This record gives sequence, C-alpha cells and structure tokens, in this order.
Amino acid sequence: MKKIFIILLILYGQNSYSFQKTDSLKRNPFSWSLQTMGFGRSTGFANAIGSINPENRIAKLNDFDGGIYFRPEFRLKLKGVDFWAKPRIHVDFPQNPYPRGQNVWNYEGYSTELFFQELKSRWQINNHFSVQGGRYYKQIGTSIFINPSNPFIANTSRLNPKIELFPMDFLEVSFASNSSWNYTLIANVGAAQTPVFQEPFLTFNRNYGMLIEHYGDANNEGIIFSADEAGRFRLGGYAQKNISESVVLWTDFSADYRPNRFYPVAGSSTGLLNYEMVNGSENDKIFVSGLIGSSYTFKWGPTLQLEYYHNGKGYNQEQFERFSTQINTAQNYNFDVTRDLADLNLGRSINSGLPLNRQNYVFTQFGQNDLFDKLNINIRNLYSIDDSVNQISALVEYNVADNLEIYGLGLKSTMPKSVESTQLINYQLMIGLISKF
Amino acid sequence: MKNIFTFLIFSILSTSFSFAQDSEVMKALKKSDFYRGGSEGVEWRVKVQNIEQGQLKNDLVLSVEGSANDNHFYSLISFTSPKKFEGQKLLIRDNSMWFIKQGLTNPVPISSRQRLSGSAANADVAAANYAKDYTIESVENGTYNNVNCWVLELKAKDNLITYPKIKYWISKKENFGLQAEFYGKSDKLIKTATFEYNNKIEYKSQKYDYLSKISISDMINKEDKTILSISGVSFPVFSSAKFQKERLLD
Repeated sequence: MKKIFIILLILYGQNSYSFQKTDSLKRNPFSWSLQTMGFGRSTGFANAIGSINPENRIAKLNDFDGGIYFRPEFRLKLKGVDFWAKPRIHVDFPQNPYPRGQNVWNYEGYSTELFFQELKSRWQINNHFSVQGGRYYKQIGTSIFINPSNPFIANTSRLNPKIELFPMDFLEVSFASNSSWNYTLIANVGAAQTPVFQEPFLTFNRNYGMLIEHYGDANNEGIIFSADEAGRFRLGGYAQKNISESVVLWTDFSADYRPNRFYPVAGSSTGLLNYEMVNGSENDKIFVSGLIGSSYTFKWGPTLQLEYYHNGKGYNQEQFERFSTQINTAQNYNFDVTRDLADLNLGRSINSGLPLNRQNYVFTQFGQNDLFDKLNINIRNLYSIDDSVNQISALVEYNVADNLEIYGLGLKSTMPKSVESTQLINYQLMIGLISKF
Repeated sequence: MKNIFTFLIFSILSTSFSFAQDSEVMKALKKSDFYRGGSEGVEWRVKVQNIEQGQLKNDLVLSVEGSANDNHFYSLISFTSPKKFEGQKLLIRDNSMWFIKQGLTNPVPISSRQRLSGSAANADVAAANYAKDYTIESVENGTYNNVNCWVLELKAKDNLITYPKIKYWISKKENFGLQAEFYGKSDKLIKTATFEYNNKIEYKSQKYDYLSKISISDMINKEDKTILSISGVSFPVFSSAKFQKERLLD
C-alpha cells in the first residue's frame, strides 16, 4: 500500500491530490490468521462412590491431559457478501480417562478431532436488510457471566475462557430500520455438537425467535420472544446504561414456559429406581430468571464487575434434597440394568440443561488488561447463596513477545461437606502457550 | 428618546453580530469535526505510538470505521497490529461502549474510563465529535503558530463525556482544529493535542486537506506522549447495522 501511495505521489507531484479514497477498495478481500494453543492441565474432580461421578464412569474426565489446538480463521469479504470459516483441529492427549487405573501416568495415546467452530455467511442485501446463516455462537444479552435472555444457548458462561463454547446452527433475517433500531428473525435449526443435546440427554427442537433491539445515547435494550417446535415459549430481555464515566449498569432476564431441563423426582417410570431425572410436567409453568449487574472502573485502571442472578429454573431446597439423595443412592444399584439407569440419571444430573442448578448466585470479576503492556489479569468468583458453594478462578496472560502468550489458569471450588457429592469439579490448573500468526 | 432608539439599534446590531458570530463559530466547529473524521461514513488506519518517559513503549495499528452527524457518533476500532492485540475491538456508540477480545464470547459493556485504560486510550482524541458533545461556553480571538484562530471554550453536555472542558483553537480560514487542551473535572489540564492536516482527500466531489497526525502530550506525566498517524482515509457507505454490537463478533 505504501508503495502505491509513493507511486501516486511521484505521479501527481507532492502538491497535487493523491486520492486515498480508493484505499479501502484495494484491500485484500481474503484474510486469515492462525492461533496455535498448547496446554497441559490437571483437574481434580468428584469420583467417589456416592458422588455425581462415581469412579469417573459418568463424566470420564482426565486427572491430567494436554492438547495442541489449531485455530485458523479465514474471512472472505466480497461486495455485499462475507464468509467466515473457523475450522478447529484438536489433538488431545488424554491421561488415563476411564476406568480410573492404578497408574495415573498411564498414557492413553492421542485423539484428533476436526470440526468447525464457525462457518458463517452474511449477505447484506441493502443498507437495511441482511441474511445470515451457518454454524456459530449466537450472542444475545448484555451481562458478563450468564445471559438468561438468550433462548438458544443455555450455557453462555464458562469456567475456562481458553476453551471455546459450542456453536449451533442458525439462519437469520435482519432489518435495521435505522442505526438505532434492529429487528431480527432467528431460526435455531440445529444443535451441532452441543453436549446437552446429545443422546441420552435433552431433545433438541428447532427454535424460532424475534429479537427487537434498540440503541440510545448511553443505553441499549433488547427484547426477544421465542417458541420451539415442542411448544416451549420464552420471553427474554436485556438493558444496559452507562450512568457515569466509570459506572455501567445492566440487567438480563427471561420468563420461560416449559424450559428444557431435567429435574429430580421420587420414583421412576421403570419402577426400578427410587429417584429419576426427568424433563416432565413440573416444567409446564412459567419460570422467571433475572440478573442485575454493574461495573466500576477504578481511576488506577482495573474494573470490578458484580452480578446477582436469580435462577428461577434452578432447584429449590426440596428439589435439591431429592437431587442430592438421587446422587447419593445411585451406588445402591449394582445390577446391569439398574446400574445403567442410575448412571443415566447421574449423566442427566451433570447435563441437566441448567448451567447453574441452584436459584441465587453472586458473580464477581476483577481484572485489568495490558498491565505493563504485557500482562492481563482476571479473577472471577461465583458464589451460590443457597448452598454456599464457591468457585474462584484466576487467569493470567503474559505476552512474552508480540505473537507469543503464556497463560496460567487456576480454579478452586469450596463447599460445605453436605453438598460435596453434587459438585463435579474441585480444582483445575492449566498452563499453556498461544502463538499467533 | 433618541438615546433609547440608539441603544435599541446598537443592541439589535450587536445581538445580530453575536448571532452571526455564534453561527459562524458553530459552523467552524462542525467543519473542524469533519476534518477529524466527522462524516456519515469514514474509515482510516491509525498508527499509535505511545512514548513513556521519552522511550517508545509500544507501537500499534488500529483500523477505525466511524460515522458521525449532528445526532450520533459511532466508531468501530479494530486492533490490527501487533499480533498480541489482534482480535481486540472496541465499539463506541455515543456514550455506550463495548469491548471484545479473543477468549470472550460476548461483547463486554464498558465505561468511558475503562476505554481509556488501554494502549489505545488516546485514540478517542482523534475521533471526538465536539459539536455534538459540547456546548460553546466562550469564544475569543487568538493565534496558533501565527495563524488567526478562534479559541473556543467547550463544556461537556453531560457527565459521560471523557473531558468536561476543552479549550480548542480553530483556524479562521480553513476551520482546522489546530490545538486542543483537555481538562479534567477539577479544571486541571490533563493533556494537550496538536493536529496536522497533510492527508489529501476527495469528499462529495470536493478536495480537502485532511487530518494526518495528532501529537498528544500528557500534562501529568510530562514525558509521556502519544503520536497518532492517520492514513488510508476513505468514505464508505455503511449499512444501518454496521455499528451494532453483534458486528463485534465478525
């Protein structure tokens, strides 16, 4: 580009006009990048008999594992049409996953997985209309930790930001009447590889929504109504407002009729178990969930974010006691059929469709980017008011060079003894390298 | 009676003159905004050089897409270099802001103070929309480098604006903003900026000199400076959805 500019200067003389207007048109319509992440990880998880993951039969987690993840990204920008492709090649080195062996250093070989984190295209028909479709993570809402207003992706939070969330398949038509109002019809037509929608967990049904979003001078609001093919309805909304130079407030909420979730009941359809996780008639009512949050940026740099979340779909005390008893008594079923059924219920306890299974949470985040031009620090804490389970995590990213990052992540859960058996992850330590090209 | 008549005529004339000058100054302020990116659609690259205690601390390149008029000011800033910042984007819509970087799935709503805490903190000086965000408190005649100027005292319209007060030198002839002083809440001078106009552009079939460089000096840490070099200016037509937060995920 610089060369072209110099040539133009020579051609026209220094005092004449060299029209840089066309500069953006000369940009390469194709761009790409490659991120390679290598990591090693140690995870402490529940595996005791009587826990949610007895002998690690259910979650099949690794005490130690590592991986090399290749994350290329391609973009093709043509007139009016954009394409994005983000294939992923994951080479995993699991360590002794299942059953738990005697030798924790037992090397299990490696596995390779290839999939698309994003494969998306958008056609900007004119200044107002656009059509978009493909496989991608659909973001809706305004909060940091979890977005109850998002009717398509339940688990919008994650403990480990280095691991990507699962995308789904969407088709959207958008109409922006002006730069402040936007109306979008969204069809969630496929679940892709989202674990909770894999057998034997929840059934995926195509889900359709209408999102209306407004932007003001210092505020943003959205409302979304959605319905799926199984007759579930949901009204979600969000709003945010910058109220001073250092404070932002937001809210994110939903009212769900028949949410797609498992909950514990006494007895079972087979008559073989005392408890069962079902997606049944207790869901046939409206559940209201909501979050309020705020952030404050200190004069010396870092930002503190605080959110309170009331999870109407979470288990109340009575349901949680059933949930807990179901987990604790699963060990009583030792015959093939009953054990399989009990294990199925434990699997549904982990993949319940509820990212958080209690009703009241406080989330805190404290962080600063670009410290000393090299360091990003982020500390998160999630506290469950109902059962005093606390999860704290810290992520430190250090840029050794412009294209090389070292990071470390530590996570620790603490909980009262009485709820220990219901929690899956006790701690996680992860260190890794990311190179960018 | 004659005295009253003379007084009335004088008052009307001076008021008209004052209105005429106010209107001329407001026009000049709007035009100076145009030369610094204030148009319905503008795109440019900014090379940001942050100098701390006389040493070059970092050197980054941003791609800036913006849209501004009397009612709105939008800007989408994408970090393109160095690699460690790649993927970071900042969306500014008037007084709302969102930030995203690799590892985040949702754009994070941020405050203006949070925006100012990063390496691109001073990029806002380049794109500020003074006519929309400030009222003219006073106007004086002055000079800057022997160029005749209006010296405006601008007061922020609300407490969301980063700098409550700006003293701004606009050349009378071309209406270029030549120098600005940025003041904090306690009326303390925080930074100063000088502007150069060596880019040549064509906009709506007219040829103009256009913003090419901003030199910002920190008045608190006096050895700290930021130099913004602007290139690749173009005037695309953006869709209505261009400056919506979902586009940060592109």
